[in-house]
Amino acid sequence: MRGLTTSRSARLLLLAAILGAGLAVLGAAANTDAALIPAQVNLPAHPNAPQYLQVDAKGNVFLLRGDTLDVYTIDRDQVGKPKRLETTMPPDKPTAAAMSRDASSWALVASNRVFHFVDGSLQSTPDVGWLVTSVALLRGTPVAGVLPMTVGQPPLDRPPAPPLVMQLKDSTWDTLIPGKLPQRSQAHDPMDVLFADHTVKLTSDEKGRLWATYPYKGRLVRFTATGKPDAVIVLGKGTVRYPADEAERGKAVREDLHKRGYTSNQATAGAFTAQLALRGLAFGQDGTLYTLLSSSITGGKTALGRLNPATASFETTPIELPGSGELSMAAGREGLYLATVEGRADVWRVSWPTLDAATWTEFAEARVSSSLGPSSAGTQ
Amino acid sequence: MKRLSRKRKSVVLAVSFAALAALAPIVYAACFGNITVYWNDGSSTACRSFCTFGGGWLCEV
Repeated sequence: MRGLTTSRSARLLLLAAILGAGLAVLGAAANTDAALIPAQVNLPAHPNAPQYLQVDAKGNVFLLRGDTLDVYTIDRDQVGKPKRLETTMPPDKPTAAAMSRDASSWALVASNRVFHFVDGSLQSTPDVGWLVTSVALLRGTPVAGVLPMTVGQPPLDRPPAPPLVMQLKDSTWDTLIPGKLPQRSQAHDPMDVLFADHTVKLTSDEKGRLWATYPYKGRLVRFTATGKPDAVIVLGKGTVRYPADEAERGKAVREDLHKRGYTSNQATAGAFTAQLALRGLAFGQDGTLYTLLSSSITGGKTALGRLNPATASFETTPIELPGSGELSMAAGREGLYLATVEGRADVWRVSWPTLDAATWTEFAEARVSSSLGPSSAGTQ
Repeated sequence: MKRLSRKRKSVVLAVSFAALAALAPIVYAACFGNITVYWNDGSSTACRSFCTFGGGWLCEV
């Protein structure tokens, strides 16, 4: 170009290159700052299978593999030698698992039965009688979250109210927390709505109190020892979201079954389309609640949310995690651990310094009951 | 023998996978015997077996 000498052009090019490189570095840093990137925990070679993380009262983290029932301890990003829960389990892999705070017992759900191991030996438990979605151990006693669907011999009389949470007491399952009869939805597939409205995932906090997560509604409820709700957190709108193509997906399932030889006289079928709102829940040793908010609440990528018991403010930070399914979570001494329950079996860790350095933003769509306020912290 | 073009190969593969998928059995995540749902309108639904699978459910009556 006229007016520019060769050396001047070269200097401008060099300046542009430096500016470009600087912007690229800044961009990468901003990107890194924008979302937490969990570190992979090194697992031994394994097939994909459900896996469940738990933590004991000292902050030691345990991983149960659903295919082998091997229990690994995890130290930072390495696993120790496994101990196996020995049993003649049914072929179905566990759909839920929980460990006691002293690490002496486990409760697993498989084939709609609760398998209770105390010091490694399997205890006899009766049929629950309702469809089990989750399990927890409260002071060593198994409790089960159930759907309002009886399984096995139906009761002689129509039950006035189904259970929501049952507890094993004197070798029988009793209602700890009552549920509600399901609504036969006209707007959506009624079975889809039943699962979305009534599914609960149970977790016990650092003080052994029971929490129920409604994963499709974005609700978290804490219960007293007698089963009374005493705290509620609602994230997002608190209602279930269904995709725009839910009718087409139901139709596709029915057409597929029809091709396989099923007639409408023999079977009814439908699609599960309700969108998962909360992907997991864990409690830190200091009582901080951690939960994963899915894209159906955030509108973008998954966010890690936390409720600080000292301030009762709910804040979030984005986190890089694949997929949109359920994750098992545990808050240990060396950080927050996350494991896939379905699909590719992965385990990750976010260290406490990394979490502390993350950019946390107050989440506007959070409603936290006053019983979780600073003056109520640690009380029940 | 005449070689298939890359485009034709992908079409043949797609057709083969579709045919396999149609023949593949449903992989159930879980099945339960004798399910009864009591709805709040007073009606009920009974299934001889109730199965869940990738993204759907099946109630055999």
